Amino acid sequence: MAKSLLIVDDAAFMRMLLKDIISKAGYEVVGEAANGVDAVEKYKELKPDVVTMDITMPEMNGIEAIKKIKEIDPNAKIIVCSAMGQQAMVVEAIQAGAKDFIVKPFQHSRVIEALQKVG
Amino acid sequence: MNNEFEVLVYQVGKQDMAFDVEYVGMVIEKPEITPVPRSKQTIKGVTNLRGRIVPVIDLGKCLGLDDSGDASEQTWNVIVVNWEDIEAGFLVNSVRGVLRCSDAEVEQVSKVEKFGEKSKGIIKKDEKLIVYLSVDQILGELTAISELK
Amino acid sequence: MNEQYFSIFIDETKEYLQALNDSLLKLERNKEDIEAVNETFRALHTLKGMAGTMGFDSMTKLCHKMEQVLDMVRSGNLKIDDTLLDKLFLGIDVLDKILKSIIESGNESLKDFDLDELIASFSQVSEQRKEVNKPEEAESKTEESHTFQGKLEIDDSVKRVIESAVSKGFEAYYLKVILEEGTVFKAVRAYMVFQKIEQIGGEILLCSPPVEELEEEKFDRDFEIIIVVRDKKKEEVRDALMSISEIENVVIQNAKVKQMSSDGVNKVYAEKAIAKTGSPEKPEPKAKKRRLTQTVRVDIDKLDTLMNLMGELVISRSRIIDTLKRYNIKDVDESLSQLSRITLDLQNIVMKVRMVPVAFVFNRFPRMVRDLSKQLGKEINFVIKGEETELDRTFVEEIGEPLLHLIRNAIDHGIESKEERLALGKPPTGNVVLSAHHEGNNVVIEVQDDGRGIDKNDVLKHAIERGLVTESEAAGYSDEKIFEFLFTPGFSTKDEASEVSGRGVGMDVVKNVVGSLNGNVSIESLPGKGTTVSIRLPLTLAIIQALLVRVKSLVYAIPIANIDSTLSISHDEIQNIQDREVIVIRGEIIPITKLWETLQIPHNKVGESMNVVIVKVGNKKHGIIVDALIGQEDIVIKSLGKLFLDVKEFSGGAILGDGSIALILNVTNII
Repeated sequence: MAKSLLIVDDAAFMRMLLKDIISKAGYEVVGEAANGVDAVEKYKELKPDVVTMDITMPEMNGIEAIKKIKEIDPNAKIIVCSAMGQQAMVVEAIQAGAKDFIVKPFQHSRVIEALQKVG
Repeated sequence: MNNEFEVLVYQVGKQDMAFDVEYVGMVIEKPEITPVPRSKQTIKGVTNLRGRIVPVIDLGKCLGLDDSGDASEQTWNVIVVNWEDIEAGFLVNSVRGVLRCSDAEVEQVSKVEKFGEKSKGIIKKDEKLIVYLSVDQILGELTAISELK
Repeated sequence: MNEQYFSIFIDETKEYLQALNDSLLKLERNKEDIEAVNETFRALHTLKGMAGTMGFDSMTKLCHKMEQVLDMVRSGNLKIDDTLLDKLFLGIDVLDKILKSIIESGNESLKDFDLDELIASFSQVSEQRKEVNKPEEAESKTEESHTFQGKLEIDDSVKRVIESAVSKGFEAYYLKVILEEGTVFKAVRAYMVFQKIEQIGGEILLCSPPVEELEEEKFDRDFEIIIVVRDKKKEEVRDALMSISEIENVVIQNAKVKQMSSDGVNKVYAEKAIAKTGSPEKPEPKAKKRRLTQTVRVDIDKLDTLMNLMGELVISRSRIIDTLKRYNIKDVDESLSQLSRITLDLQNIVMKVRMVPVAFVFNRFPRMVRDLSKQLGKEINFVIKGEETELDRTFVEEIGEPLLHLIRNAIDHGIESKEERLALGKPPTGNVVLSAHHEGNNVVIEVQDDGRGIDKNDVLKHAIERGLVTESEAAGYSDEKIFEFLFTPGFSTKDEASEVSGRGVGMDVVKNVVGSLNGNVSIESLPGKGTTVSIRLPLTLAIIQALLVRVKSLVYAIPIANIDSTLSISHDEIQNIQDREVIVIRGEIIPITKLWETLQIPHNKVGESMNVVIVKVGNKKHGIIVDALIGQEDIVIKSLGKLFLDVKEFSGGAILGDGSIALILNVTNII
């Protein structure tokens, strides 16, 4: 069965792009969220296999959201999406429990690798 | 180079004239035309073409021809053309059909002076003389006038 | 890049640029507003990611630089001041320019602008600060060192740790981790390697280059470490590390150090997490709860098509009703009324779909007001009210320019200079209010200022000078009528020094645009107190209610929004005042126009009684005489097209139930 995925990013553009890459790789995108609060809600509701999480978002940032999701499900598999120059934040996200990270602009192969590596 | 092309031949008054076929969308029998007061003399009005409001241009007037003959005797057709983003109808007397001709049959020199740039030349075919009109030029001039005002 | 991404990229970038302007304006009002700093940062950051994805390098670079500056503000290393704000505003303008160039040409060419210089100036801001805050380099203690494997050097203490660990049954491994070519955030990958080692119970004794250098990405593609771990085979360690992305290879060997002594200190580097150097994210203050409604982006063409189809449906309905009436069929009355109801509901929904809040156009003004007031040296308190009021999106697009003129006029010519205001006993800060609200089936947009107002006598004098009216004619003119002159094309020019004339700049544009949207505009003003310009628009452009009237056999439509009342008069009620035909209704003198005369339709003498439609344009009433009133109907407005651009009397046409066409009167231009 295809792995289910939740995409979290405040920019619809980014969500669309990721969704495209991810769907083409044979994963099923089951939901999208535009901020951390929404992401946590959707996670509870959809229980996706993998989450891609943007860091900088309104309402609740990605790191907080990772922490919240990890509280709900310590085994949650989260991939952080970051932009250039956000190393420190990525480290924080990984400390918070993210399994891998991808950097914008996204390279298809990197996104797929990340998905495969988190299993 | 001897390009072949197709034209739609029609009559305005007693004169045969033609448009490039590529511009022609359809030919309809004279529809109900609603006059638009204060618009240009050369525009007969507007008509309802399948829910679209389309201007109808009096081609004869547009070319500076006198009203030819008794209008009641004539059959009337509207040739609907599409040019750039404009859809417009030309009121003509009758439509004769599509004619295939070649560049060699178009006489550039004898451009009809009266029509100026509106004509692209004369098509000579089977002893007939057909005024070859430019849709570009005619509609171009009309819109330019509108925009100017 | 894919077309669909492109358009969504453009749309979203516009939104973010707007958001950036907003948050910077907030910052300008309160330089300590940390939430505004965060908003600005976030918007820049997101924009950077989007631009990078699309391959727009200049945009990415500029966003990145600006973001760095904002980040320093956020972490308290930099204070917001006016110079910095101006620079940031400039940055946004440049981003906007880049976007425009992208829209027009698909690439980021920036004419007449040195982007590098701007980027450099942002770098300067951040560099300066960095130096101040740079912690002193930790002095490297050089002890007696031994070369171990490749570049790795170990000192005695590490040797002792390895020795001791091995003696206690631990394994000591030497690892060489090689990252993939082109790995981004190498430091983070290194961190993940360290983290993974800890997760499998290992401890890092030594690494080369040292952790500090790894943190700063001062390494090529590989680094070496020595770890101790219990009960893990080489393969297990290697597999664990290979599970991390972008690791090309891990070479693992047993660490063998001959010289060993015992010492308990085996926590060497493990605790030095790379994360420490990054400025810790301050917890963001709870943002106001915004309820995000579920939305779908729809291509505007599809909406237009939907609206057109809706129009066809309305026409077909009228046609059916017409036919049934003719045959007097009663049986279908019930289903017919149901059809009518459904069509009406559908029409309302389609109309609502097309509605957008006026905020879309209002939002761009604060920035303009800021720039203009700075330029003119005036203090302006600009207030926006009712920005949630919804309007057909076509209006929203069209109304921008007229409002720009009105606001510009209010600030430039309405609001007095600071000194002047103080001398008049007014507060030094001028108020300009831009507001929108519903009024029945209309939306009213007002631009109000508390400036010097317009002196009607000056306007009148100017009008007389220009020969627009004679002194005697003007004697009985009401205020509204006098202010009407301001809408005359060319009434004012910018070159003229006179304040009054300045007031009318662009007013003809305002009137034309508003007129073409079937709306009207009016001015109220009190000298010394201020001026209010009101624009009244129908709710939607596409379907309006209209009164159908007849002149000879021709049917015309008058938008209900323009109509005050209808009445029937007898021929001798028409009087002549100063060569104008007027009627007097309840003491009010109303000028009249015979529609056939205005439209130059040949017309015979009319009968004794005639029908008058009283229309209202601004505050002005006017009677239009027609042959007959047919009735009220919903009509779908269609454009007459380019060939009729010169005809100002009509704003469009509508197809009626019987398939015939009714031209819609542009009332503003008829009277």
